[in-house]
Amino acid sequence: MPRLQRENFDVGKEICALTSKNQRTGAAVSFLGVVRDFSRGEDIEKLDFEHYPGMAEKQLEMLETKAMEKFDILDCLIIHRTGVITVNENIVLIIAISMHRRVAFRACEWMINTLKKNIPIWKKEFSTTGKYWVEDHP
Amino acid sequence: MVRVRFFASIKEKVGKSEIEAYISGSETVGVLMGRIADEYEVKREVLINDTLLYAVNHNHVKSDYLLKDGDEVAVLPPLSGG
Repeated sequence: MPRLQRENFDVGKEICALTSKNQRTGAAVSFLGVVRDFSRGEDIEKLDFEHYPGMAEKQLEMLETKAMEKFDILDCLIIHRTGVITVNENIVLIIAISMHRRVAFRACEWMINTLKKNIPIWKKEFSTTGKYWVEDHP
Repeated sequence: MVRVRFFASIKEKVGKSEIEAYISGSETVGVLMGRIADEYEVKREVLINDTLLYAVNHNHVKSDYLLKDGDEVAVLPPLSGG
């Protein structure tokens, strides 16, 4: 089950929790999104993530389900934080586990790319010169 | 009556996070957006442009989706999660 949460998460614990649920696991591939300190040539102080309650959770569940159908993976997990997040903090974690590595790499990349296109979450950047909604996909 | 929700940059441009609107018979999301823009004196291109996504009852839809009474419509500016 995906999670949308304000609090931070422990990457190692999340990976171990997922892999320990399935003894056929031979590979765990993860993507971690982190707040960087610059964007478009400006210094970034923090980000504020807004989401559409109800729809974001539903679409994330559909994303995990589609990933399980599309790729030969054993399990997957998406965690996305909401609210204000400062530089160097975690934003999003995606994990795919499988018997062999290749499919887990593909599933993980597909999930983060699809999340960026389909999940109703918006990022506001707070830079030294102002605050802006991010409306493109770098 | 339908509930219309606005998020992020659209919420700031419209000045509201949600409104309620009557729909007359079979009305599409696009037609409703035009009426709301006129009623709330927002430029039409704020609510109708190629970068926007629309959702009805938490599912992505196109602007020609036919609404029915009780629907929850959402205007989604370009997404930027992750």
